[in-house]
Amino acid sequence: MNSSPAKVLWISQNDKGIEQLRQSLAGVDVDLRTESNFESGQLFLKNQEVEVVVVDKSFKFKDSSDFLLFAKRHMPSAARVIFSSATNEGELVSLVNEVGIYRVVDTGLESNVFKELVLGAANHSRKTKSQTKILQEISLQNKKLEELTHNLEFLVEERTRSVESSREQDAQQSKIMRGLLGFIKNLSLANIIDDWLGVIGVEVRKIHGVSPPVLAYTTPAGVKRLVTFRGKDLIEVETSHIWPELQEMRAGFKEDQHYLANIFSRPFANVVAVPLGKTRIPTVIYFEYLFSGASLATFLDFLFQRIQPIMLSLDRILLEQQTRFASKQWEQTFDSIQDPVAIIDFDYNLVRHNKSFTQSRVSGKCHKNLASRDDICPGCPVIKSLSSGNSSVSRIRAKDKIYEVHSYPIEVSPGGGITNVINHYVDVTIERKLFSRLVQNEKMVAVGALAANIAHELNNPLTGIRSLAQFLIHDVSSTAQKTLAQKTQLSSDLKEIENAAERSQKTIKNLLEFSQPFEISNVGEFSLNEIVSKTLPLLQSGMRDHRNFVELCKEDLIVKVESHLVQQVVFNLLLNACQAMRQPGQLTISTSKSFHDDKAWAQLTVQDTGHGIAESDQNQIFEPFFTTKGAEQGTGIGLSMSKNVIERYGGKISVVSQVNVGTTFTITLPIVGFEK
Amino acid sequence: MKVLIVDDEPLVRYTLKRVLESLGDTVVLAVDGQQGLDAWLKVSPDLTFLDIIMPKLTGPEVLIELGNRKTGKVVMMSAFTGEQSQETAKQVGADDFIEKPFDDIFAVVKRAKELV
Repeated sequence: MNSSPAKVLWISQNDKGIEQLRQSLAGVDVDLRTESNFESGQLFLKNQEVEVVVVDKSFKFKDSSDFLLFAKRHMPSAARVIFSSATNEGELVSLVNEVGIYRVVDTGLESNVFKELVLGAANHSRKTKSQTKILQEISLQNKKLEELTHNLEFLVEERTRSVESSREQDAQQSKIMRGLLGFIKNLSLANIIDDWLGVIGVEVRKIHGVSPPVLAYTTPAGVKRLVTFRGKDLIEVETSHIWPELQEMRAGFKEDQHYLANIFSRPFANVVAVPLGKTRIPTVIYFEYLFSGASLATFLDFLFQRIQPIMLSLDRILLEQQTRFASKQWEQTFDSIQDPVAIIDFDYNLVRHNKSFTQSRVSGKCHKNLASRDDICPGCPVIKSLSSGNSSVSRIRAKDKIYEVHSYPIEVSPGGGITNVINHYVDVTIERKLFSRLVQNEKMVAVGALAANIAHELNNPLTGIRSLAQFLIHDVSSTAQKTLAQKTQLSSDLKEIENAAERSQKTIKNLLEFSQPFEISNVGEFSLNEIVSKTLPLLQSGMRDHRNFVELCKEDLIVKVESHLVQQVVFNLLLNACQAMRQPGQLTISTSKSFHDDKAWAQLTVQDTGHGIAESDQNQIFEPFFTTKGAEQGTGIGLSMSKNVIERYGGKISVVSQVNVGTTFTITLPIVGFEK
Repeated sequence: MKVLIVDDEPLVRYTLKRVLESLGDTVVLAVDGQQGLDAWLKVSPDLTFLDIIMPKLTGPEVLIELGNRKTGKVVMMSAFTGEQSQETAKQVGADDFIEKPFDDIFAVVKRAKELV
């Protein structure tokens, strides 16, 4: 098992003994080193490995013991052997307990015994050494294990700590989220600026050192307003001084500080200004704060997290405010309109109306409220508007008033089709009365101008009547007895008188009809030809000076008008034409039918060969009180009135004229039943 | 005597015809200026009662149109009173002018016949 020689250090001053030793060890695998003193022995021990240290009797016990102690310290594995004739127990105890002696040899050395001793000692030393090594190894391993365990424990601890901290973080995070959600919810519940600002005020109170916010915004009416809270009191300041412009959130700007100080007349500490929105004069929210550095960063973080919901909710509130304002503005606008205005559905129910329409609503129906009628007002344009989808106008009578009703169809819900109309009622009672008076005046003037013609019209038949009467008187007196033939003749003569008298009566009736003030009547359907035919006899004598061509359309041209007004127009045009021809000329009156603009039109032209109208006057002839006639011939309202009448029924009046050649007036009116 | 009556008023035509026929005259009637002109050229009347204001051709226009083809005497009549009508009648060569209505139909006829 021992492959190497046993290393033995022998300390001895006895050269003889050493020689003897060498001999006794001959043949034994021993590497023997001898030293004569302890100093050199110690030196050797320090540098070489030794398995057995032997001190012989040549030294004092004390020195030997010290050296062995040294050997124990420097080469603990080496087996320590002392040759001593030890006498006292104390020295032995010391050798065993302190030095850890392997053998105390007190006899002389027989070679065999010694050989055994050396080999045993060497063996012991090797055992001890290997045990020590194993121990060292074990202790090293233990140490490593300990380290490992320690590391593991640390890791576990670390991990546990991290898990705990992440749990804490999660809890923290969810707490923050809950806080944010609560804040957003509160913001969304705020419907007015005051509440909204209050919610933000409560929220920023979480950050120590922040004062209630100040909001600077523009109201829908365009007023610049700043709002804040002092305690629970809302403070509002309207100002014409616009707040400093800013593009993004900023903190600690003197400009903001000074501005607020001026507005609220108190010093302001540092201010964070946050623009909300990107309008030209954006809304700004200000936070006064008393901290700096890290706390400001925290606060700004806090704001960043909340800026989005703050902006969104403010947008909503301002929009609502705008809507409320606009709605109120519309309401006021409608109520300030003097004319009645109402929204009416297809069943004549009032949906909305202004104050002029009715102050005290009596039922759902429009006619009940406006006209105190249980049925629909005659002439109401609502049904026409609803069915055609286009606006329409007509006149109705309600109580003691005449309204021109403009009916505009509307879609209440986009794409839902036309279900309602907006009715605008223009009170034309006075206008109508004035207009009637004006027309009457014009008629009287016309009658005056026609006096000579009327006389002629009446004198003609009167001539016959009177003359024939004279003849008959003469005839009756000349012959008393009548033959049958004479009687027949007489009867025929009297019939002629009757006929002429009737014609005269008709002339007078026509004239009276024409000159009588017209009643306010409703629009009806009349034939344009008939109106023309009725008017011609009134001017017959005036027209007789001229060659007349009357060409009436074979078709009845039915138009929706007030016939006496259109008759007045026709009369005006004919009279103008007659008056324009100082010398006998040619008068052409014709009616016809034409199609344009998706409609069929009844057309009347009155053409004369008179003096014509100067181009410079053509633009003005339809203006009221413009006239080129003498005062006895016209008032200057004839054509303006004609235009008014024709346009009222959706028609047009136009003129083409050339000086000294003649003039053509054309009127067109939509034919009933041809609207698309 | 051949008498032409040109008037658009039927009863005037009728009455003059009745009176003249009762006096033994031959009467031709025309209801407007154009008919009057045609009849005139056809019958060459000795005496014509001619109304001024008529359709198609007026009395004065008929005389102008006739020119020197005019025959007999012409009495112009009008329900348009005043000097204007009388003046017109004179200008176009009428022999007499009578306003309508007549005061006395017999006097009118007598005066006219005396012209011839």
